[in-house]
Amino acid sequence: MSRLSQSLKQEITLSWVSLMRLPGFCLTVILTLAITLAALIVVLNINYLVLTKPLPYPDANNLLVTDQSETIKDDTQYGYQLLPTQFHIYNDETYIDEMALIVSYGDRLRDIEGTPYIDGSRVSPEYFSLLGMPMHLGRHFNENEGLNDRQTVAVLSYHAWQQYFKADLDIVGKFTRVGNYNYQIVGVAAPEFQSPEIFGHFADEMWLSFPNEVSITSGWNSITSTVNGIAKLKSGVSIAQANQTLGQQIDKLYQSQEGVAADTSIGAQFVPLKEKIVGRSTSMALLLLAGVVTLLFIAVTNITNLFLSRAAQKQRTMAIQSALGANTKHLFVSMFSEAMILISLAWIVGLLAAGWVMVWLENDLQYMFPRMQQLQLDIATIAFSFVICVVVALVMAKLAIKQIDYFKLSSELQSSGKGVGAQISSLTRHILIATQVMLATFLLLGATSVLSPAIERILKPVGFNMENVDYLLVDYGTLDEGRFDVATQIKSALIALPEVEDAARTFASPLRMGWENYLFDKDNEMLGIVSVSFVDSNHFSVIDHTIMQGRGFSELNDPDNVPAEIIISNALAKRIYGEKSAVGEVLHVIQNTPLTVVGVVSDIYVPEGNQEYATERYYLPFEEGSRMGFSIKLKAPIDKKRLTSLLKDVNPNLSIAFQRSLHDQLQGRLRGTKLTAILTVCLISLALALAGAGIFGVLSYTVQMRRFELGIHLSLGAHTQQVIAMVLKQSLKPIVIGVIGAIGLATICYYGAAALYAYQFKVNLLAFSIALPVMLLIAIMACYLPIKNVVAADPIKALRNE
Amino acid sequence: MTQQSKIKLSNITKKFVTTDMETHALQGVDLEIFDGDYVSISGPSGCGKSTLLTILGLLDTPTSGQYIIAGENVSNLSVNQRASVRNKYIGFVFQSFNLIDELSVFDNIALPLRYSDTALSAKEIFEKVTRCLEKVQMTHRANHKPNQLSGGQQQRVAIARALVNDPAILLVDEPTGNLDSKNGDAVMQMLADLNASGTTICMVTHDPRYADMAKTKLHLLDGVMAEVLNMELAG
Repeated sequence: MSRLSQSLKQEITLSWVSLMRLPGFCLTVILTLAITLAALIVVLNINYLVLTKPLPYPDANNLLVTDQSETIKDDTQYGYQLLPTQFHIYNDETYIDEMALIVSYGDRLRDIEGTPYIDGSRVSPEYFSLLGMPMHLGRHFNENEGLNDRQTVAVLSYHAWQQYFKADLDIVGKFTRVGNYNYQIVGVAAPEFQSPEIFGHFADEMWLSFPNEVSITSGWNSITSTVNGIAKLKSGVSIAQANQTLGQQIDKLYQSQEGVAADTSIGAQFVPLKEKIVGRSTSMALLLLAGVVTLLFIAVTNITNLFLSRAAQKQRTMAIQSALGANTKHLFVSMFSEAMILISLAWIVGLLAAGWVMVWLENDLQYMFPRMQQLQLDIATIAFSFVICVVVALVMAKLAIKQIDYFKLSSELQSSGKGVGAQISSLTRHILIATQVMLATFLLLGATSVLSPAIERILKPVGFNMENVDYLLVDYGTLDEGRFDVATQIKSALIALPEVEDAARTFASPLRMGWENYLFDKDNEMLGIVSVSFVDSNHFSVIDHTIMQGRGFSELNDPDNVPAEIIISNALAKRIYGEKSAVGEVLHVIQNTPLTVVGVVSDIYVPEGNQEYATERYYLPFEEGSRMGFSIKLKAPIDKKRLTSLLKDVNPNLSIAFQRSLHDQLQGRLRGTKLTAILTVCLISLALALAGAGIFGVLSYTVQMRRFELGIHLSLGAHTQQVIAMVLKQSLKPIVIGVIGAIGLATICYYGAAALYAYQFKVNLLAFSIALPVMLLIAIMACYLPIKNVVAADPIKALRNE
Repeated sequence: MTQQSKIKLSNITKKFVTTDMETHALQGVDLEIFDGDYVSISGPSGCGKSTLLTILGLLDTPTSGQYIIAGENVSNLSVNQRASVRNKYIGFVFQSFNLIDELSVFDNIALPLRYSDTALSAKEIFEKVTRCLEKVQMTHRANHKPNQLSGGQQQRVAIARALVNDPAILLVDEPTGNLDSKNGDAVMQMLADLNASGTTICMVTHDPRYADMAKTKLHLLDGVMAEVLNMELAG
């Protein structure tokens, strides 16, 4: 064994024995670092997945998503596609090497007990080869199961195969009914396959072929975010070239359609697949990382203080070591051993805690970030966090040793110890305090800027009544015709129930905001793409949604004679008509099919991910369509069996597809926002606790070191309040410097983020007015508490350091 | 003429209690110090000399007994009242000087004035400090920091600080303990001169040579006043 490793082993043993005598010190260091490391490891993992980890597909860097742009009067929107234009791009052979056409699609598995709803996509066969889907069973779609082959074949995800098909090993070749079609299952994806989250942060459970024809001549009136494509360009073709040429081609096609509004155009806006998946999550992930790194700095500052105190405490031992021939390197190894033991233990505890947090948050994190299906303790993150620990240990040992004057160590042994001893310099103490305050205040400012909009979003009233209102979506099975009449019968049957106060037909829950459509003015001029809902004549009264002008829809009893009426939201009315009354005006949803505005309703504020509220909305009369939903105002809870039997009485094909209270639905929609708020509150609490404890620690140490000096002041007749005021005054200096530093740092970050990342922080005055006094109060309390005990005792105790 | 009593201790005891033992540092000590007196307290190590001095200086509280300074009973005062009495009546000189390193010589000496119940103007403070600096011949070092001074100089500054408030009594704890003999002699001479000019002094020392310089020699043994010798009468 080499001399160095022998000496290291001896130092580690010595450090271990010596640390065993200091359980409080050890516990404080381990807990402080473990909590911070746990947070750091989780956030590093999230960032690694979101920002760094390559996508698990072959040639992933060359995969693009074939997004389009839509320009209406110089206002360009992204993320809405037309099926025929995607089909055109799919067929291109000049720029596109290979492309998979994808339509997000979910429906019920009708032959599985409980007819569970399954999320999936209709895909062309290229989907499998482009993404290199590994198979557990069976095969990919073949070339005869392409877009216009009208085949009905399906590939299951491994999870769907296990959950809905009992992991049937003979599943390949069997049929299952999805919606109105029977699909033959041709394969099961391997468990490690992760579907690209281009339509949302959730995994596909099933991939289906296209049962109907896709063509360039139909589908021009439906622009949607649920159609897209993944493509690879031909070698030598740049994204800009493809966007330019294919964009012109699809716009030409678009302009050649009948009734295209003036001043509108479309284009190609291809984006790398990774950018599409990660999208807006980047800034949130980076913000979280910045928060946790700041927390780490606060924790390291705390630990630095503890280690400096420990070094001061060890001075006599070091003096003896020095007298026996130890050089500065030996003393460094001694401090490093102690630091490494404690930090390694903290790292292990932190890893365990991080693993637990990841399991605990896995489902919720999917509402905030993409790729969270793959969240686990990654080896890269584990290794990186360990490197951080080693660096922290090295820094601790170096700083601690720097405080010790090696050449004065020997005189330590000769001194009586009265009134002398190792001390952390006042400059170091002040730097420690100022750093703590600066980092904590900075974190507090940043976190409250995130927290207050989240809280505002959680507390914002939606604008209509949700109490005792359920939304019911009816699965009409194979019922092809007469669905309007069936919906009317269900409505009547529901109202007849004693538990029901009123019911209204609607395509979707009042909380569903995902449908957008064109809107044209009286001259067929495009007004934009606006959120739309199809509702009953009594819809607004069922949910107490205020009609500000005009009235609700006329009675809707005849599916062949739907009134040509439209109701618009206040925000939309203000944009189109200003202060003028909108009632009686004419609008178009389909050109040359005029609709009269019969009412203006108040704006509603339904949270939709991190997007702004879609206050501009219009409502159309409920008509026969693909969805049969009901808003039900209840007097008392309604039994599911009773509801099922009611539906069966109306028509044996009917069953409950979905039933949930609006309140629960809203909570589900706020899940991501709530998680943001909870994580921020945890971060703030942790930062304040660590900073408070850190400042207390430094000042406690300072007071301890200054007890003798304070004793002198007291012995000369200083009153307790004079001594307290003196110490507070001296301590306030680094605190104020810290607060000013934090404001400076926040300003730099504000302009830096705007300049480098085009990210705009929302400056929140409330955050400032709360964060600064809170930090000052904590800092002042942390100053006051350690002095209180010293001044309350007889001065001789301070002079004798008792 | 009847001498005026500056300090009077009656039946003072001090007990230190730990979990497993009780130590009686002082047992029924009676002591009276008069105006202009120069008292030395000596005795072997651990006999209670420093404890007695800290009680005299109101730095510590006796377990029992009565303590009167300038006619005022100070046995049961609050922390801040004791601070005021300490500031007004007592000047303390410590063995290890106890100067504050961050403050200049001038500011160290001015400290008691800044803690005084009577607010003084900057001019008054300057005059008083300068007078004390002159008394200990340290005017030329007014702007120095304590660590720039020799031990003897630091002790002279400490004496100046103790005198700045014109205290009723100067309590001196082993003033030569941290000094060489030359500086020790100089400091002792300074104390003798101060007493000659009317300052009442009570000094703890284990050095019989210096103890002999006092007018009254007290000897403590195991917390009990064993011997009182009036040197003037004895001489």
